[in-house]
This record gives sequence, structure tokens and C-alpha cells, in this order.
Amino acid sequence: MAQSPQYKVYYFASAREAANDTTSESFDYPPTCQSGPDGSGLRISVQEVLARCVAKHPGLQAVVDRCMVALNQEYVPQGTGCDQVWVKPNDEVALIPPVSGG
Amino acid sequence: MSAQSDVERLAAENAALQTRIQALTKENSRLKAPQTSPPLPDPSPLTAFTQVESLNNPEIARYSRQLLLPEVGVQGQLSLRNASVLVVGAGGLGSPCILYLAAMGVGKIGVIDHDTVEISNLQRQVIHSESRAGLSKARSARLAVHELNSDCHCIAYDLVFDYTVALSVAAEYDVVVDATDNVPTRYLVNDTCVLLGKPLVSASALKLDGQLTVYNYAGGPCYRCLFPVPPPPETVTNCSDGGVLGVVPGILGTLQALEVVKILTGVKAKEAPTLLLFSAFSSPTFRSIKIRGKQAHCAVCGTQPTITELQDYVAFCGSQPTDGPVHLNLLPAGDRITCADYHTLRQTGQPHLLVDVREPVQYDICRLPGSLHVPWRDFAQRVPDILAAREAVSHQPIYIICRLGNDSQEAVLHLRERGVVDAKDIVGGLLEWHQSVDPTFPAY
Repeated sequence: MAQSPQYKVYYFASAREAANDTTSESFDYPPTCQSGPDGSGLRISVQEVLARCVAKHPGLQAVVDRCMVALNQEYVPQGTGCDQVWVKPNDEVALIPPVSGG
Repeated sequence: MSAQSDVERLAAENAALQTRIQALTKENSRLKAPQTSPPLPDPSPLTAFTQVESLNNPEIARYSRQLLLPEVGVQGQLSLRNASVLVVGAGGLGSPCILYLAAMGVGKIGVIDHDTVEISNLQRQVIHSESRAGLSKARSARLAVHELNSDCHCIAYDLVFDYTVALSVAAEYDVVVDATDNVPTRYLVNDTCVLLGKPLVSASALKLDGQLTVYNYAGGPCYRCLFPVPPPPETVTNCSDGGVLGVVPGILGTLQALEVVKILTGVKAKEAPTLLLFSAFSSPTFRSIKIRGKQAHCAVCGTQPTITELQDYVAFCGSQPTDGPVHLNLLPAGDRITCADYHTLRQTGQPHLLVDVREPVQYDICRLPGSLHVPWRDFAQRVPDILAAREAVSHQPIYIICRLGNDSQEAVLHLRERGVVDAKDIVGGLLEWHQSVDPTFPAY
């Protein structure tokens, strides 16, 4: 049987610690997830991806709003429009909080 | 010869010798006297920095390995020679960056840092040395630069880079390197560069992670475009709390020197802006994230900026412009005990339970005998263990200790919420124990 479609989340720096020292993990799509209206296949918004990360690791709550988010190594602006950026199977989302030490 | 003339001759000789003795005594005491102000290097060079139209023969010989690279060549080397770079922070990032900029032949380097060299800096701040402990980092860096390349025009600013000096200092330079160690100064350096129109080569490093980006350059974003809101202070870890592997800032600072070269030689303007992520113990070690151009709604570099002058960055970030330890005061004095009083309590053998809430790596470094180890991150789940251990000492009071006396207060508050009222925290933690009770106890 083929593996169910998944997307992957990477946690960097303090986000990794807030996610219980997880470097990366794969998520299944929630059963409510629909294919896009254009038939583009299974998809979930970046906003919902972040919400599911926080649900799994409550420690991320304090960090996630201030993180830079990248989808497939490309910056995604948080806030407006974030619910219209889609994460497809095998896509990679990265949570990148600022590091300030030096 | 008469006895009379002998006496006169001896008296004259005696007088001459006495004068000589006096002179030698004076000279001796002058040489032996402690020097009240040891001679320090002149903080600013004697001659002004001037640009040149061609390289001289010593420069051609010195930089031949770079001149041989088509990507650098005479024009590129001349660009470095005529450029000025301000490095904000002479710490873990600044150390290799300053050294390489000086080595590669950047004409003028400004170094601004208000800190002094400490021995615990040396595992990563390789521009400094044991012999310069206690000296200002800016001056120590300047000494190192001049030892390496006496042609480099290096200016040491033994100052805090704050809003009162930021614009006037940075205005003197072509490129600014952010090698600072704290959040407020990162926003300050960013806004300064946006207001002055200077490219900003920014990096950061902590534990095993680092980031590198060039901001405010060739239509790329500024720091606020990517991180418009500062992280909550309680989520920000500094090197003195979280630790840092020495070579990690070394790698990032070295890459900053590379980015400066790419800006000065014009290569960088052709590249799309990226954020480079470094994770020392992950695979892959480097990742590059494509970032967008400047954000139209950015508060400082956007189309309608709300920030048009430097502001209060300490208030904006809710944290201090240092990476030093924070001392919280969460408990009334009656719920706390000083190290001296706790020492007396131990010496008189009063039964009690001592709980150490530090991370396991810290507990491995040193601990007080007889302590129960419950790391703060597991504390909530392990309260039953603490209560069971307390029963073993017939329900005696609980004292909680950590490194600095912050987590210990949080732990006391947590126990209060769980109905345990006879717990106290030890003020100042094990660092204070080292300072006021037992100097042989390790400090870290």
C-alpha cells in the first residue's frame, strides 16, 4: 500500500527547542483536507500548517508568530495571504526564528 | 703633602660622591615607581585614511594571491584598499570577520564594542588573547589588526553602539557588519543602515546554529522586513546562558567577511537575496532560503515608513542591549534565602531538601552535595518526586537553587500554585554561592 501523502516541517534554532528538540517531522494531511478547486490535489494552507505545529508542540506558541516561514526554501510572508499559500504533498515548511547571539 | 690638604681633597671627593648617590637614588626610584597609567596604544591612527588610484609594489606583493584571481584582480583589490567597513561588535562573529578584512587588505576598519576581554570569551573570540584580558575589546581588536597588517587604518571605538552615536559613526563607513549579540542592537544597526543607505552584512550565532543575510542592499529586504516584531524577551537565549560552540560564530563571522568582499567587488549586487542557515550538527549543515525584496509595508524601509529616526530599542524589544545575565525578582524577600543564610543552615545541620533545577549539562559541571536534581523543564511532571523526597527528610522545608536565581524563583512559584508553601529559593544561585560563600566552587 502506498504511503499516505505527507508534508514535512523543519524547526530551526529556538523553534527546534520549543518543538521538543525536533529537527524535522512529517505530517499527514487532516481528513478534512480537500483538493484544490482546480483539481490541483491535496493541499493545506501555511496558516493551518503552523496551527497544527502549535497544537502538537504547545511550546511553539510563543515562538511561531515571530518566526520567518519558508516553503520549499522560499520565504512566505506571515499574516495577510498566509491562508492562501498552499502546502502540497512532499512540500517542506521551515520555521526560522531570529537568532540573536554572536 | 699636608694632612690639611688630604682632608680637603677627601671632603671634596665625598661631596661629589654624595651628589652622585643622590642622582642615582632619584633615577632608581623613578625607574622602580609603579606606572600609574600604563602606556596604551593610541586609539586612533595619526594619519587620515586616504584613497589611492593604484596599488604600490608592497601591496602588489602582499596581495598577489588575490590579484591572481580574475574575480578580484587589480580593480577588486583596489576596491578593498579604498573601502571602509564598520564592524559592530568584536566578539565571536566580529573576531574572524575583522581579522580577515584586515588580512585581505580592506583599507579602513572601524571596530565598536564597549565590552572588555574576559577569559571565558577566548574559546570563540579569537582576535583577543590571554594577555589582553581586561582590555577593551575594541582596542584589543585594533592591536591584533595592526600586528597582522600595519597598513590597515583601524579605528577603535570603546563605546556602546546606541542611538546617540550610531548615525555619526556609521556615516563614516561604506559597509556595516552586524556582529552584535543582542536583539535591540540588531534593530538599531538595521535602522541606522536603512536611514543612511548602507549595506548591512548581518549574522548571528548561538549554540550550534547560525544565520547570515545581507540586508538593505540592491533592492533586498531589511531586517525588519523579515522580522518586523522582536521575539519575546523570555524566548531569547544568549551565549552566556545557552552556550555556543566556538567555531560556530567563527564560521558565520568568516562568511560575513566574504559577503563584504562580494559587496565591495560588485559581485553581490547580481545575486538574489538569501538567508543562509547553518546548523552545525544537522544535515545538511547549510541551507539557503530565498527571500523577497524589500517589503512595501516595512516600518523603516517601506514605501511609507513610520520610523524616520532612531528610536528607543530597549523599550521596543523589552530587553537590554547586552547579552549578560538577567536577574528577575519574582518573589517577596520572605520567600527567599540568601546564600550566606543557607550556608549557615547547612553548617548547623538543619534537615531540609535542596532541589537543583538546572539543566543536566550544568548539573554535570558542579553541584552542592546532597541535592535532588529536577531540571526546570521537567519540574511540573516531577513535583511528586520532590514531595516524596521531602517525606524522606520528615517533611522539612525545601530550598531551590539554580545557576543565577531566576528559574529557582519560577520553581517556588510553581510549588506555591501546587499548594506547597514552605519552599524558598536561594538568591543569586550557584554563581552567588561562588562569590559570597565558597570561592573554590566552580563558576561558569
